[in-house]
Amino acid sequence: MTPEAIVELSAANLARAIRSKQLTALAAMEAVIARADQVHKKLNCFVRIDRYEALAAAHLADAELARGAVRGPLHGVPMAHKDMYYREGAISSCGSKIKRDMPAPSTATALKKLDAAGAIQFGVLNMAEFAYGPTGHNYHLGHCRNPWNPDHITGGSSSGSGASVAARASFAALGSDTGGSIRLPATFCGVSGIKPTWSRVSRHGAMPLSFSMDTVGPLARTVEDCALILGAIAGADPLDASASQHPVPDYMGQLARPIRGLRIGTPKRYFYDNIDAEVEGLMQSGLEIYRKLGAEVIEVDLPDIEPWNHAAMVIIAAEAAAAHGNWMRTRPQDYSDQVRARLELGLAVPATTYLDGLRLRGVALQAFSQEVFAKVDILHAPTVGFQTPTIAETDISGGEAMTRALNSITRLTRPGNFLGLPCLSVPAGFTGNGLPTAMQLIGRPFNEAALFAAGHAYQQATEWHLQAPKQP
Amino acid sequence: MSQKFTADAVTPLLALVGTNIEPARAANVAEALATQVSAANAVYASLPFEAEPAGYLHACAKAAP
Repeated sequence: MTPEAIVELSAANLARAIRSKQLTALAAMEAVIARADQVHKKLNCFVRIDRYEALAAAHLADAELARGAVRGPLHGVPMAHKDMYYREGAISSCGSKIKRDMPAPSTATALKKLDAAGAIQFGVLNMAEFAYGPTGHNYHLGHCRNPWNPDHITGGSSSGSGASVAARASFAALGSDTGGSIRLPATFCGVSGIKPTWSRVSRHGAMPLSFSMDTVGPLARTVEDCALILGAIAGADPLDASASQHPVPDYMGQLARPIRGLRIGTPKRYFYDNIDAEVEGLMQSGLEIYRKLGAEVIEVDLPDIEPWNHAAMVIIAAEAAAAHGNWMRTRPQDYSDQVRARLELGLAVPATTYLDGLRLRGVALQAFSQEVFAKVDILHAPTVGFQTPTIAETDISGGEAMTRALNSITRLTRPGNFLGLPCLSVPAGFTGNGLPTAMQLIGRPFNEAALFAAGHAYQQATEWHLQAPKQP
Repeated sequence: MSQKFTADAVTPLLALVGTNIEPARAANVAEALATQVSAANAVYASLPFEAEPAGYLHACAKAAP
């Protein structure tokens, strides 16, 4: 198999090829590092490539396989991750100037679980500074660029994760999602991504932004890959008291379950307010696919979601400001202007406004569940309501204009974080500017399996997820 | 509707938590804060007295399949 053909494989197919010895882990690692070297010059998606350690680990994986030892379902699969997952002794810059010289004190549980599953980390990826930005701009590391058109944003904060996976420079990558940071780059770069239920994946060793909103999840070429990787990283963790004890189902085993009779909701309001006509058309085409597959598409009335976003913004601002309080006192000049402005805002949020935001979440989730999940199994909606903008158009600084712009980019993703619900972003076509867009499937808490089955069925019937950008 | 809130109010508030802020930045914070906090507080008008922060987790567990 040629290096060009190897990097086109999904993570699941690569794992199968390595296990069946059609391909070595070393060949896969050499191919993906060569591609990463090539695309990084144009896309600025990597912070670091640990090539020698990764090649040695791939060689070891092949030796283990030769004597019949398989570490797990990702044996030999090369992955790079957002630069906020700590590995003991290594630098995780978190996209910042402040942490660029600080070795991590311990290894993230998500990384340990991926190691145990056999995946091999070969690099770390660009990201928004402290994961606090939805566009992919980074004034310390340089902006990450969209592989479909480098003048356009990747989305953030998991910018390098979206760009590298789309550009075939990583088979999959961890991202994180606090207000849309997995789903936005997945959408703008044309890959799949799962924001799991809050608490589904341990956050130990993952940089905190907003502890009551932060989630850990993968971006990958296919929904099947997302299911495979989430299955490897989900579950309880003695090092993270907030990680759920809820049993982890066999996502891969349920992937092919039939969706005939599945009730898919389409919202009457909010998600389609002021939406771009082309994006709306692609959403309707997606629903038509589901009808043809035998699902029942039902219009649902949503509670008034718009006001919840204000509460979500306040919660994230206050929690992020608390986490950054010490550096805001001692090193404020080391933040970029936009991140500093958002943290200053959070420092001034009244305690009662923050706590009322938290009090609202249970009430809101109950209302949402009554309106939506009493009638349908999953909700189908656009991930963003506009076409992918350029880097220049979204170069925004502080003030109310910044708040408005940021709210607008995350308007359709933030409710999933506020409610803690699992949301799967799936490529759903291309708009006139040649860039991808996506739908999101939103499910009941801890029912990622239903989302994977629905997303996988869609990808068996369409080819959007197979499209790759031209190599730079 | 946004409440009036000024840079003059932001500066001592942030000083109280140990952060110095220049006048131009304080004006930006005041503007964004007034909008965000006012909008959030307007939502809370319908919040039941009994609602608790942990209520979200209970609702999550109840809604799970």
